[in-house]
Amino acid sequence: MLIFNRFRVLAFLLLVMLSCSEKVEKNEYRYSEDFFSYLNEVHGIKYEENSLYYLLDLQSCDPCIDTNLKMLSELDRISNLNIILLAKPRFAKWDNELKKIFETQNILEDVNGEAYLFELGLGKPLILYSIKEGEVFNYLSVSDFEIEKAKHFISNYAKY
Amino acid sequence: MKRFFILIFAISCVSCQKEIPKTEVYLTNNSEEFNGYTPLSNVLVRTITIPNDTIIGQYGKIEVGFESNKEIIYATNLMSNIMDNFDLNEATHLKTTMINSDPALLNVPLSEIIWISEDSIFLFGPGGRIFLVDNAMKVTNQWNFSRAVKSNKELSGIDPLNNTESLFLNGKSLFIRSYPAYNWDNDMEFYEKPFMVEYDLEKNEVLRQLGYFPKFMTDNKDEYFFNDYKFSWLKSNSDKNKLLVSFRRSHHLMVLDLETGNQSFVPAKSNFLDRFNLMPRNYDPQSATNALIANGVYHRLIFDQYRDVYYRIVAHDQSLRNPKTNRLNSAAHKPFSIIVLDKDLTYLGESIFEDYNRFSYLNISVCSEGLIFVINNDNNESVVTFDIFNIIL
Repeated sequence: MLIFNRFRVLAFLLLVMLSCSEKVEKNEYRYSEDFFSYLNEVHGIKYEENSLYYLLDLQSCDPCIDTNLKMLSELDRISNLNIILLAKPRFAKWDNELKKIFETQNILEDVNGEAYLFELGLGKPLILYSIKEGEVFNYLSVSDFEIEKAKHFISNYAKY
Repeated sequence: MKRFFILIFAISCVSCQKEIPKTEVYLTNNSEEFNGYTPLSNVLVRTITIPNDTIIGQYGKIEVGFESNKEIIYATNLMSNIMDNFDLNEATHLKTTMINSDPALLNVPLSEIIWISEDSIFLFGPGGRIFLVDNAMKVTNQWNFSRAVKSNKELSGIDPLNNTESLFLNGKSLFIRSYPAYNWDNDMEFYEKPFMVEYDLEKNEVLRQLGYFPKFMTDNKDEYFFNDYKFSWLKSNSDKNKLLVSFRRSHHLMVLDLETGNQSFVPAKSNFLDRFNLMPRNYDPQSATNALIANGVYHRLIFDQYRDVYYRIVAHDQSLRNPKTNRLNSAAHKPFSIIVLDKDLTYLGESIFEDYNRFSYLNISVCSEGLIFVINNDNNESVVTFDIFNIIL
C-alpha cells in the first residue's frame, strides 16, 4: 500500500513537472501573415512548424552585428534554426564569423533587404519561433545588451 | 445616502478614465497666415546617360562642383564607400575613389559626406568621429566629438545623421548639431536643449551652444513625431551670419542669427502638407518604419546660386502599402514637390514632380542647368543616368 502510495505521489510529481516544462508562455507576434508571405515570396519556402527564424541585418549598427554574429558563430549545429541574413556586410572584419555560420547553420540570404518591404517588426535583430501552422508562437527582439537572452530563447526551442 | 455613494462612485470612475490620446494634431507656429498656393511647372532640360560596366551606381548622395572649369558630379555610395566623379558637360565617368582607403577610415561606417571645397571634404562616422579629407581621400585632420563634447543637462551628444548635413564651417568655427543619443522616442529634454554648438577647431573647444527647437515639438507629452530631430539647415546666401532651418513638420522656416542667437520665422508652407501624424512615445520599430513610409515631411533646403533662389523639398503623404503587390511602399520614393523662395525668402510657388519613382526626393542637387536627379537604374546596371530639370518661374 505504502509502495502504491509512493508510486502515486511520484506519478503526480512527474505529471506536474511535465506540465510545467510544457508550459511556454505565448508572446503574440503581430506580423505572422507578412512573415509567411516574406518566406514564400522572397525565399520561395513555406514556414515549418517548430522552426526558429533569426533575422539579422548586416548593414545595421556595427556593435549589433558584432554581438549577434559572435553569438551565432559559437552555436553548435541546430537543425531547426534558419538564419536569415539581410543585405551584404560592409566590412570584411566579420568574414570569419560568417564563414563559421554558413558552415554550421541553415542560412537564407536576402541581399537586397526585401524583408523591409514587409511588416515584420524589424528594428533590432529578430528571432521568431513557429510552433504550429499559420502562427508565429513566440518572438524576441534582440537587444545588444541582452544577447544572452537571445541565446536562451534559441536553446529553449533548439533541436540538435 | 445611497445615491450619494453612487454619485461619488460614478465620479471616481469617470476621473480614473484615461484620456484618449489624439492621433493627429495640427501644428503650425501660429505666427503668421500662410500664402496661397502658386503652382509652378517644371521641364526636363536633358537626360545624361553614362555607360560604364564597372560602376556600381546606387548613389546615396550627389553634389555638383567645379574643378578646372569643368562641372563635376560627385556621386557617393557610403555603403560601398565609393565616390564616382563624372564630367557633367561631357557626360563621361572620370574616376572612382574608395572613400575609406586611408587607414584611419578603415572599419568606420561613414554616415555622411559634406563637400566644403574641391580639396576639403568632411566625413562623419558614429561616435561623433569627423574626418577632413582631401581630394584623394587622404585624412588631413580628424576629431572625436563624443570625447570633445560630453552630453549633459545643457547639451545632448553629437552624432551623424543620414540624409541631412550635420555641420558647416563659418570662419574658424565649426557649427555642429546635437543628437538624441539613445531614446529618441522619450527624450523630451533633447528638444528643450540647444540643437547646435559652435566649436573652435584650432582651440578644440566648444565656444557656445545655440539654436532652440520650436516649442510645438514638446507640446505633446504622450506622442511624438518620428525623426523630429532631423532637420535641414543652410547658411543664408545674402547674410553669412544667418542660418535657415527647415524643420520636418514646421510650415515656417526658422532664421537663426549666428551672432546673437535670435530666432525668427518666415512662412514657407506646402500646399500638400497640413497635418502631421504623431505616434505614442514608446519603442516600436515597425510603427517607426511605417511613419517613415507614409508621413509627408519637409525634407531638405537647397540654395540655387545660378538662379538665386532657395528650394524647400516637400515629401507628401503616401499609402503604406502598394495595392498591387501588398508590399510596403518605399520611404525613399514618395510623391514630392519643391517650394521655391527668392533670395529674400519670399514664397514664389511650388512645383510637383510627377515621376517620383524614377528618382528620389532624398537625392537632389543643383547644377548650372537646373536641378539634377540621379535615376534608379534597377533594370540596367551598366549605365548611370541623371535627369536635369528646371522649375519655370
